Amino acid sequence: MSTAWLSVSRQVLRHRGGYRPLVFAIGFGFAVAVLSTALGRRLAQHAHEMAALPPAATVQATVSARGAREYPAADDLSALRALSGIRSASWVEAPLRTTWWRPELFDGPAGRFVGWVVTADATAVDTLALRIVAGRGPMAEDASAAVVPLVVSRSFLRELGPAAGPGTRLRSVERAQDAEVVGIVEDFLSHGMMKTSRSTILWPLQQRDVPLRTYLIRASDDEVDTVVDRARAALARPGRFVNVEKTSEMLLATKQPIFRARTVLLTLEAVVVGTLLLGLAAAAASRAVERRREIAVLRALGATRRDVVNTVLAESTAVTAIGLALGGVLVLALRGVFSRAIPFFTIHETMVAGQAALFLVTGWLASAVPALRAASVPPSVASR
Amino acid sequence: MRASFLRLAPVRALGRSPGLNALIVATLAFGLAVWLTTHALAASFERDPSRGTAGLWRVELVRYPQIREILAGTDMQFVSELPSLVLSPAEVEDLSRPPDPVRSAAVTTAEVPFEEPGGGPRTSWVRFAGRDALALFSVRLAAGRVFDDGKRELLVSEQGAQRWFGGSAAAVGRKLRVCGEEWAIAGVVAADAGVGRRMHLTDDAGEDALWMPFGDAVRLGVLPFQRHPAPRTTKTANGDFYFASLWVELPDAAAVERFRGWLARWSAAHPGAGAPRIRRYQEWSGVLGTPPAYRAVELFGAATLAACCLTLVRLFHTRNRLHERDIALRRAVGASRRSLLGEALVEAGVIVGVAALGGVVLAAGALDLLDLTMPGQNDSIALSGWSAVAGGAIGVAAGIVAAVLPAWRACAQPPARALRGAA
Repeated sequence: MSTAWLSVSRQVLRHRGGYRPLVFAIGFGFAVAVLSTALGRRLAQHAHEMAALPPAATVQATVSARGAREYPAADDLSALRALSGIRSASWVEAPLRTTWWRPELFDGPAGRFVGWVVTADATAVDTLALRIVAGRGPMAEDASAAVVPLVVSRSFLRELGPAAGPGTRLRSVERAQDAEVVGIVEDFLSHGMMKTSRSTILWPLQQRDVPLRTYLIRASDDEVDTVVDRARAALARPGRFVNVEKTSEMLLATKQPIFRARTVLLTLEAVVVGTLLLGLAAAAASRAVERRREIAVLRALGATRRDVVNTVLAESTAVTAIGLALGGVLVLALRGVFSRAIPFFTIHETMVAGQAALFLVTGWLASAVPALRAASVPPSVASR
Repeated sequence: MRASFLRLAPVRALGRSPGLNALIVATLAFGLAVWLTTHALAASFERDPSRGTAGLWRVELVRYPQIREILAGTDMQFVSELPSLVLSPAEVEDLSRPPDPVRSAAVTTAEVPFEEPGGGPRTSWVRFAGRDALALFSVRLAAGRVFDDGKRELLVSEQGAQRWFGGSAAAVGRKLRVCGEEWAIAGVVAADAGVGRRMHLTDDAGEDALWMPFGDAVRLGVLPFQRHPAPRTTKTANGDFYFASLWVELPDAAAVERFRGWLARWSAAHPGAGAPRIRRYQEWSGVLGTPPAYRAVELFGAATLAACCLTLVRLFHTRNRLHERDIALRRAVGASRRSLLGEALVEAGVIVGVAALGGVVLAAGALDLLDLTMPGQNDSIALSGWSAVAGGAIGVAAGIVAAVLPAWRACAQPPARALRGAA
């Protein structure tokens, strides 16, 4: 085994035996596979973060606001709150999944910063099960106040400076409106590695005439399915668009594009592995044919079939291992570039080890048939 | 009889090393399928009938640069450009009325409730656009005319017209119920008219959308106004993140300069509204500048095909080594090098022909699968007949090229030496 290793390594280094392109291809393929695995993992994390939603809001309803007649939001909410199994229901300005598309600028005592705004009615604290740690919760009259009263998360409060608390004034730059902190709640909506994403506020909802409305519903986990059906029945009218779904399903649907992007990356990786499988199989078959006479001589001198199989597999292993070493260097070189371009991009040792194992197994699989064919060469070939 | 039997020799030779032949077929089919798939995918993303449009400019207000700075290096940096692209309805109204009259079109998309004829209530994507948008973007109508503003008229897609009314002509003049209101169908947008993915930044609407006047986007309340301090509007709006894009037609350099000058004056009169800029359609849509990311995927496909071709060279070489004794014998009994090379190429042609066919079929299957699973694409991803033929021909050519060198070397070897060293 060690002799074959040395022999192949020498041949590769001396550019002989046609191994060099294969070694480079393995190195390149290994780098692509490791980087795409790391990128796929980061995408999955990102999907998880982007779809973050307070777990208490278990059901989301989207309804048309008018059809054959007007459907006042107050009627809808009363109907929902009267249903058994529903603890709270709120009108939010837009589906929460769209929150991340709207970074907003604020001016506070400590300077300018970015926050994320959930525009919701006064009951949102109950529906989202937010714990008020200081001040008060939202009130219905907040929507018409000249200085907008805000319930902010702890992280948002930190952006306002160390002395900030209920009563601290700030300004929404884009809305050109003065606001005041009236309540503080624990962080909500986000987790993970999204910088600034915990800086979230509840902005009072002004009731408006819109084509579609979104309601969030808080229900017990064990009653979610029945609440979905009840809510659908309570909101339904002839000709009215009503869509009631579990937020877990809505989140899954939101994550789908990112998961599909990850599937594309996995497909690319499969293509790389497939290409290498074919390349290694071709190389092993070629070597087995070229060395037919050598193998016959070995067999005539007493080498067993297992020895021949081992020799071919050892060559494959040596070629793959040298390619992997080259790929490892490439990964190290590209890691910094990727880390700078993609926030929180990391390559774990397990990914590298896993891919290396995959490549080695691929090499063995590709060489298995040529190795068995080589082992079947009769010793008599040596004398022809 | 004998002649035809000999002519079939290369075909019969295919049966001699079936494993190797299968590997050759698999290698070429695989490489070709990957390349054709990535190529068709890139072509689908790139499809843009408006890319040649001259004199079309996008009006933007660059503002809130701090968002970009604060979010730099975070997961959310990808949304930081958005605020600079968002125009409020009132800004659209202002900026589309320069002193020199120009053709302009505001565009936005939104999802609204819709009662499908013969079906239940559902939501539909609507492309709200100014009347001139269809002319500016060369969007063709299959029937009828462009809607008139303020008359509750809309356009439907050709697919919708077919599905609901049995055809485009039959759809014109019929009624649809959208947002709880009755709308008359004024015209039908032709299928594959390339409605222009790049008319708007977040254009989730595909071909099968409704088209309504831009003014109704404001009236129905789908555009937000809250976040735009200058100039403000009091029109109602919902809170989803719909916003407007504005396009103007500036036919020559002088018109561009005049418009830029007017924008600068408008900006001076509206402090805090941001720095105005205009971008040519081609720059906005990515025809100019950095190659889009999908080009990397296409390059990857081409690299895979190239790698497979290199593997093919090796495989053909191995195959010829296996047949070395036959070739040498035939040379020894008088076969010319040219005839041997011809036969080798016929053999290779048969193999790569099968492989190319397999590659095209594989690619068509992969694209069908992608078409079903890829979210949010506006155009169907499919392998056109022309691409299939061209791809197959390229596959055959690549395979033949890969086969030529090993065949040439095998035929060039002296018979005596080949017979001695045959595998």
